[in-house]
Amino acid sequence: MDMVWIAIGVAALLITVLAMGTWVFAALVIAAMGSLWWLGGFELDRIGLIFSRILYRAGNSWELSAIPLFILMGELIFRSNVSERLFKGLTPLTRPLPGGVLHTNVFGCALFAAVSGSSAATTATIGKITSRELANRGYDRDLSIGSLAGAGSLGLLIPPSIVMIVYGVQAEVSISKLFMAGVIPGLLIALLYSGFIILRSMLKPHLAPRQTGSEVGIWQALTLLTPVVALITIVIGSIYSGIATPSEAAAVGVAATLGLLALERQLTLPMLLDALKGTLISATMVCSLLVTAMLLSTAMGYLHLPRELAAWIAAQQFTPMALLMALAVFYIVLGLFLDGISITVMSLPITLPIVILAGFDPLWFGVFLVIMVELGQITPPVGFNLFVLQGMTGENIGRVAWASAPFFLLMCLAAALISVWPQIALWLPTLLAS
Amino acid sequence: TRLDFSNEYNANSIHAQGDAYFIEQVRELTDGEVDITLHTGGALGFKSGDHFYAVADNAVQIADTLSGTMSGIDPIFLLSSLPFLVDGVDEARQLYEIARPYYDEVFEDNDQVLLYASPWPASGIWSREAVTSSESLQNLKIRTFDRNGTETLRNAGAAPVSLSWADVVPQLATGGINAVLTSAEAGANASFWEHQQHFSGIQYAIPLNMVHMNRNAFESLSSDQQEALREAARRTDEHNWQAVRERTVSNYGTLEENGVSIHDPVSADFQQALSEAASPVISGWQDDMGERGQEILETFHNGQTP
Amino acid sequence: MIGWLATLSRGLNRLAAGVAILLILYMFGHIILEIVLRLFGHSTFILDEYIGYAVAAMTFLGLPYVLEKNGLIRVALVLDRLPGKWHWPLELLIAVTSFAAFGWLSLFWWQNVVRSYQRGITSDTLAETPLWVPEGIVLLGLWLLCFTLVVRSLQLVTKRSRHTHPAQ
Ligand code: NA
Ligand code: NA
Repeated sequence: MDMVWIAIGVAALLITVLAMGTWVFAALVIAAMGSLWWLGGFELDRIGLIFSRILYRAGNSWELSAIPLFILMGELIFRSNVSERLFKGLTPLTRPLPGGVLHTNVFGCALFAAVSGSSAATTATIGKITSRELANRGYDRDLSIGSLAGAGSLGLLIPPSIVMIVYGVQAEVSISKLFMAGVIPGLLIALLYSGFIILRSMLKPHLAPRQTGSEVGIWQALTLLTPVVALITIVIGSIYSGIATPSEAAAVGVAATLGLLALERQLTLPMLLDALKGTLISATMVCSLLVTAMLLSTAMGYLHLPRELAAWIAAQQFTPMALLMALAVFYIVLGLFLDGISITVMSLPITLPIVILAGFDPLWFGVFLVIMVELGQITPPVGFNLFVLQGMTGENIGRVAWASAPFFLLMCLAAALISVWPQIALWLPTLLAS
Repeated sequence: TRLDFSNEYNANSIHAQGDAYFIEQVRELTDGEVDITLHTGGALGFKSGDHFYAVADNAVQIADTLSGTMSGIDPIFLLSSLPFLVDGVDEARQLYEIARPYYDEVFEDNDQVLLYASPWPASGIWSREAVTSSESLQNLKIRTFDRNGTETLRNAGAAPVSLSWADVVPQLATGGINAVLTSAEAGANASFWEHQQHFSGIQYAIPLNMVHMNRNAFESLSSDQQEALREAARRTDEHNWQAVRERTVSNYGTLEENGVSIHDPVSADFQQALSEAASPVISGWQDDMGERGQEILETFHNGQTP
Repeated sequence: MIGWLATLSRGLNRLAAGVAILLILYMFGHIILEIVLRLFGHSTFILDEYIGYAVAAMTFLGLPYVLEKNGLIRVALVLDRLPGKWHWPLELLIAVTSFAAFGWLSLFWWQNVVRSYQRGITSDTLAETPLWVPEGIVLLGLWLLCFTLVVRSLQLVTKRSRHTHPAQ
């Protein structure tokens, strides 16, 4: 099959350019251009015309504004004592739990996922708030990075979610029902992650040292948590009251954070400027990757790669469960290289009809697909959560990916669970519809 | 010959299905010599707003483009979405046929060939409370899709809001907006009935999508193949104008099944008030267009067919 | 000469980064304004259009500065294992190929911006924004990025040493 060779060619090209040490954003552009020239036989002029327009189009995206603004929110919190107080408050509350405040990564991401529709923003914001505190407290770095990478991708499964909106529009499935269907699988994944942290901490207690030192009482602990709880309540409240759209929630988050810091007299001009500078660096890094990754998607589109691979699967006459396995492999492979929205729009015209024909509920399939897309966020070479964490921690991508590997496997387990018991996803929307 | 065809809509949409019909016709007429691949959902990375020059530059060979998104290039592309100009599919088609030579000219001047049009089912108002009179429109927070709609509804006393399509359903669910100006079709695809129980068929407009092709790509085909493409385009035009009628009927059926009250037609008073609100928009367009606009509208109002 | 170019490039990049920071503040302000206006049944009508321009402008104007500050991630597996004397040729190869790619794209984007300007193409929105403005800002960012890469290549050639240690 030609397509297999083309796929191997694209992968080899990208990996070579990346391994040389090219900046990832430039490597994506070079690999995209190279693929069309080398494997697609496109003229260089046409490549220039195609990609210059795509570069502008991909950057010119209103939904992306949530990234700089949520990062700004994280930078502001990072520079105040809000995160320190959060951890002081959480420490006594989580003491009986093996893993202690490490669970903040998981439940912080799950909670933040309720305001953010993207995984990069979730990882960047929660990571900024938790990673320093966790390092100071002597928690294992791999466990800390891996749980952030894994739980950060919950931004896509717990509503609101950009990928779910794209799926809903493409598959003509109710977006409200999709949002509801994502909640329980999202919580299930969070519980699996917490369970894994508990297990690891019980087997190797040095990974999550028991916190000692200044004791605070339960009431004082709750007081310390108030600012974060207030922030989250305001942002979630602004969405569910209809005051702000999910795309606007990030600006509400910045406003609430600024208000809180001003109220507590922690806001100074140098601190604000410092936060803005930090925001520019992280936001440019993340946005430039999201933009240039679109070029690789476009190249794959012109090479007809995803659709022909999907068509090959469609032609195999698989049994329903075999089909699901084949699609899982297909989506995990695409997820190595492509972003979630591209995966969704490129594959659906072919995969959705065969999935429906095999008797699966399109609502359920939406949840399955989003989990597949989440997996792609934490697989190298192109994994946005990995990129965010590499930028934030300075660890190389290999280590970040390795630290995320157990969480990747747990998410695969979650996909298997919802395949065996589709009710995990369908129960809530059915309940609320009746 | 392999050609790529970009389209922003989902595979079941009336536009994608029309495009699939065209591709099938081309395949038959050329015995599979011309192989066109449709990329739905904007899978190549282009949005409607990018298509005009993407096709002119041969970045992509064929594209299906919402006419209004090209209005910054030439105001003629606002014609089909002018509010309350046509009162149904027949008139919309008549207007399209009158304007076709003018459309052809703009595409020709930009190294392109206009193949066929793909009409939308008529736009109306989806709402929580019935919108059947001017009073019920007062201060209504309604999402509009272009500047004509914003101006017209503001003139009519409503409070139009611009939102990206992705934000519409969350805003409907939370009551951030109360109504949406769009077709029964678009609302049905997004299950609007979960939050909106009324649809007013005000016959706002029947906007067109244009399907256009790079001229070099077209002319590098053999003359038989070119004729085959033209024939396929003619058939698809015919097919699409028929399909939009069928869609309107089937959409209303779907709405009724889902408990949406359909108000169609609305009272003559209301229709009259809406038309008055639209008249500055139409005359403003005519000013932008100059002579061409006058010619088109005169021919249309005189009921002549080209 | 190269020292002077490097100073110029650094200065321009700082300036662009300053504009990018202002754009972040602008995004925040415009979204909050829209939320407040909507409460009163009003709208700016251009929120998604202008925020879209701002995101693109922020990304491309910020890029050269962040590149210069080593804020862009890379995979340093090969670089870190290579003997020291091979570092600068590899760094040079990376800078030159990146320049070639972005230079090629900016060439075609330049033609597009010129066309938008000459034909007076506007957006399809109420604002009827001349498209060459937002398109031109992105072009400016691409040019600055190319300039930064050229300066970097020249420095690598003249100093024959790894110009900057990779951040990771
Ligand atoms: Na979310
Ligand atoms: Na990946």
